Amino acid sequence: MSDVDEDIRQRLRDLADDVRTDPGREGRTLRRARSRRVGTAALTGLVVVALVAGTVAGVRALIPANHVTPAHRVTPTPTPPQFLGIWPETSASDLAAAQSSADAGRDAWRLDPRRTAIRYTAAILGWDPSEVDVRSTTMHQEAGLADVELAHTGFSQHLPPLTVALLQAGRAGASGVWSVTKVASPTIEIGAVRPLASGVPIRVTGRVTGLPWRNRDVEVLLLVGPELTSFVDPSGFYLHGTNGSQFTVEFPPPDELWAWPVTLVVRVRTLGGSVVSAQSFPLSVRGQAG
Amino acid sequence: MVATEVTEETGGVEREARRLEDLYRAHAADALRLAYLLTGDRGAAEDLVQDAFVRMFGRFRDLRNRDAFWWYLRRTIVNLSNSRFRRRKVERAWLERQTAPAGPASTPDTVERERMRSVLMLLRPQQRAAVVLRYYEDLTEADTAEVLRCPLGTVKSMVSRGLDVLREELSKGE
Repeated sequence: MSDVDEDIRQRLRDLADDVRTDPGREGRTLRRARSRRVGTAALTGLVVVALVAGTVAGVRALIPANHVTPAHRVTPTPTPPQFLGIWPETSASDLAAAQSSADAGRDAWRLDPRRTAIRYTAAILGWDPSEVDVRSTTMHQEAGLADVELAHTGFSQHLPPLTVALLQAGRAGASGVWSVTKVASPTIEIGAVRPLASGVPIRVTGRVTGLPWRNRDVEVLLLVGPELTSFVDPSGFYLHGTNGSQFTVEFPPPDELWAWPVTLVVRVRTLGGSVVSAQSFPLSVRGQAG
Repeated sequence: MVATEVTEETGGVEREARRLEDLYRAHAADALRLAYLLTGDRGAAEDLVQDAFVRMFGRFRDLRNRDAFWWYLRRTIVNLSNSRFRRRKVERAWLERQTAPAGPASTPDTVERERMRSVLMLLRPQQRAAVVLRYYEDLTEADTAEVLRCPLGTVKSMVSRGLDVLREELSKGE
């Protein structure tokens, strides 16, 4: 920093110190703020009530009149994931449907691992496809495997690229559709995922490294289904220190309500809301990551 | 679920009201100083800060995370300031007003501050915001780009050119 720049910095500080808060403003601001917050809460409540009412009505319309609710739920025995894809499908049957669609000439992007990877970053990370820079693609045609390295152009100067691993889980070759199986970034280290056993909480620990942003959020999600919707919230989590890099998240023990397969997603956001890094892989019931 | 500092939800109107007061008292002065640097006008800065707090209190989901609150409040202030200049086209009118003779300055410090304020207002709003965020708020270039929602290269360019203007204009009076 030159003397001139330091002079400008000091001038800005001096100028800013020229203003003082008006004590009378506090009361007015807080009154407006409270009414705004109450209004927002009321509106949110109305929306929730409307959604719940609509959902109940919809479910009732779908259930046959002679439907009998089972006396107790059958507890499914957790099984290792039979299907390795985490996006866009999480089951072999959905993949077969996607393959049929591609065979019929639809969704041509599914036949290209690069375009599939870019679509993933749009769907799960919220990146604008026009701002995604594909750095490299490593393909193993015979095995139907591909690694696509890509980065968001807005952050690429600060961060190493993400690696999106893809697989042709059904048909290999030019006509086979690609599925994302794993997403990795060197900026996120997942330490251990405690075994997914009945009655044992799931603990995810890890570390975020090499990010230039001082303020950031770490989201740890367990997601299910092709839309990768969250179905369970962690019971607690910790970022060690305001600018700390360690995180520990604990989810409740799996029970019969859990749907499988389950995908772990860790996303790092700046406090501005942009996802700058991510890690994702399917969880097995034996606690082996990936 | 976002992994910042989250504690058990306790709720309660009184507690909520106290949180609003605490947050206001913790950030109002900093917010006003930032808004003043961005607008160059005390009255406008006060209005802008009030609007920013009201917006933030209306939508911010977790009032307990003060770091996050300041981050969003700062961005709201910058956005409101830029919108204000865009919407009302006041910058031109403001600059025209600056040609009118200023009131008597009481001390050399006051003269220097007034000069800095005038020079700062020569910058375009977004450029001024970039300079203020980098040199007053001490944000990194990456964080500045995040607040302004623009590419890093644009921030570098805006700050560099903004500093050139400030240096040149300030040197004229020496």
